[in-house]
Amino acid sequence: MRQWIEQLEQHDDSAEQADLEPLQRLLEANVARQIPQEHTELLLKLTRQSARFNQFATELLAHSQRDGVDSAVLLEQFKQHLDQLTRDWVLYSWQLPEQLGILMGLFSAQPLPWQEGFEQFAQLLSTLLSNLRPVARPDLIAQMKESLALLERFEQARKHYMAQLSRINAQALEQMARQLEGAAVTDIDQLHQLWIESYESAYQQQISSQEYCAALGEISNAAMALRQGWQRQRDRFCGALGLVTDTRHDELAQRHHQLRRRVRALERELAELRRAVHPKASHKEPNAQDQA
Amino acid sequence: MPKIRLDPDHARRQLAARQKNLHASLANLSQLDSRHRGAEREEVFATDTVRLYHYRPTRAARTATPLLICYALVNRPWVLDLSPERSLIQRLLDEGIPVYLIDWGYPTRSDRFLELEDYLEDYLDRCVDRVLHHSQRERLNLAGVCQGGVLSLCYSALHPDKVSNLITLVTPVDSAHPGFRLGRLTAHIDLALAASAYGNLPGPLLNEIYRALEPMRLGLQKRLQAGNELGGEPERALNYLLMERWLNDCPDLASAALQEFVQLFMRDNALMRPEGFELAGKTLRMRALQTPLLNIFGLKDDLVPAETARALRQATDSPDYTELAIAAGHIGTLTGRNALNQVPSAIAQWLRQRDGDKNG
Repeated sequence: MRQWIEQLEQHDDSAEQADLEPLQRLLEANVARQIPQEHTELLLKLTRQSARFNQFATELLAHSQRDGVDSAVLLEQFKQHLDQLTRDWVLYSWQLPEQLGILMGLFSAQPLPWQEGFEQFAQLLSTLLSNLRPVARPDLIAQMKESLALLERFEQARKHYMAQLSRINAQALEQMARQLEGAAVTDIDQLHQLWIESYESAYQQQISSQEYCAALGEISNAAMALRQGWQRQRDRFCGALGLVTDTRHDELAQRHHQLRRRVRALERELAELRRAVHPKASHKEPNAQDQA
Repeated sequence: MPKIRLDPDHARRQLAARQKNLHASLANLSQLDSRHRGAEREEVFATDTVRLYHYRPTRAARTATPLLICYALVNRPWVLDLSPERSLIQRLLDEGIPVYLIDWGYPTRSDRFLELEDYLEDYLDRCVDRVLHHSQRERLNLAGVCQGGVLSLCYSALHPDKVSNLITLVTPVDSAHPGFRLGRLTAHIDLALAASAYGNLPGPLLNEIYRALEPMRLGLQKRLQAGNELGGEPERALNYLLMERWLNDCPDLASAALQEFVQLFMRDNALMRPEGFELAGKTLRMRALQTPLLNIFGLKDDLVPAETARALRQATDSPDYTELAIAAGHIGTLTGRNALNQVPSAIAQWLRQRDGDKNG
């Protein structure tokens, strides 16, 4: 509960904050109660979402009471909101490997938008590579080049996928504009529903295209290739320090499964032999290893 | 551009109602004990991460043959016993059916090399043998849920001597159907790369893919409407919370088995191939399946559209094929109020007709 309140307090949107105050007071009154972490997380999400909606609706209402809301202004607001949602979604869904993300954060002198931070980081790595090339071991240079290439592939895939999402956003807004021309909207929930439906309709149309599926595949594959490349680096470090690597661990697991299959095959053979000796025995007798 | 004129009084009432719901949600969340309480059960078998549970019927068993439920490797089986009010298992027990349930558990990184053959011929087959031993029967009835339905179809083809009747619930059969968006969306994802990058495919990643089917409805709209659920009757709020927990309880997927599954049943559409497909060292042909089949699916299912599931009729030549279409979505077909009024009784009746009614 305390954590929930702290998170609310850290949230810096003042307009939104005003909407959250009554809830915050309620939460403080209930702070002695033990609420499971998952409940507090859910509440946080719901309250933020609701506060944003209230803020949007209140502004809309104020405009509406003065001289009506111009659809063009409304659509521009939706566009900004959609663009933000899209950026958040891509950042959340295709994250850099944890250590690489931390490293990127360390190299940024100040908090930057992801795109700028990424470009700055890639530039730094590129410069480092040029400076090290004459003095570092060739294998180290090769590793760095590989990492840089993977980062560049990821960034290309991200841009390409973002372009697909932008296209969806644009189509959703066009569709909504058409709907607004045809229907007199007087209701906030109705307006919101119209937006959801316009978006989903444009989204479903776009995701059925080969181009979208290819872009989704490429951003997923590029993110995974980056993770795999980073893992290879980690394996090299662990190997150099004499630690068990993930690869070695996987080899052992693979051998374990091969042995398990062999045991299972032998058990089946044994069961068949038993049935041959005692024809009345049925397959409902469990395996030897299951009888314990 | 046209102007939008909102009705100010109505709009204020709408906003006030939302706020009220949110406050009521807080009150519910701070008071509700949302621990999962399933039906009473007994663990009868355990190996590696797999567990087999037995549930006793709450009335004299009217179906002599036990029913083994094979859940998907994706998500967790406790959705079938979400709460006393929303429990497919409880309703089956109330119908007098002895139920067994396979819980595949949470695969660890070491399990990344588990193949479909391991799940079918090792884990599932051992569970089947254990059920037969425990119930002292020669054969059982098998029910597969979603991906578990595909596994059950394969298992029935591999071991027709052990399965009396087969029930598939919300099971994808024809992955080439245009409505099966999941297959199309994931068509370009390199699963071998996923295996080497992650080991097992992380469950949360899979959840993201599901949400990507309808991002605005399953994200923003769902959150905005959550107050209606959470701020309402405690029972309704509790079921919402349990469902949310279940949605986020997503185990990682053993990558070798996942790769095989996607290749065979999503990309190659193997179940629909008349010539069959290779699995577990055998050629499996759905056309050869003679087991009586009850195919249950949701008419509003976005994940496994009705036509994708209904294709089982064409895929098999079972002389005894029955369909039950429910006006519900994927999960609603398993846990929805309307579904729970139809599905368990339909299963019980269908089984009794084929199994012999023990108590008349």
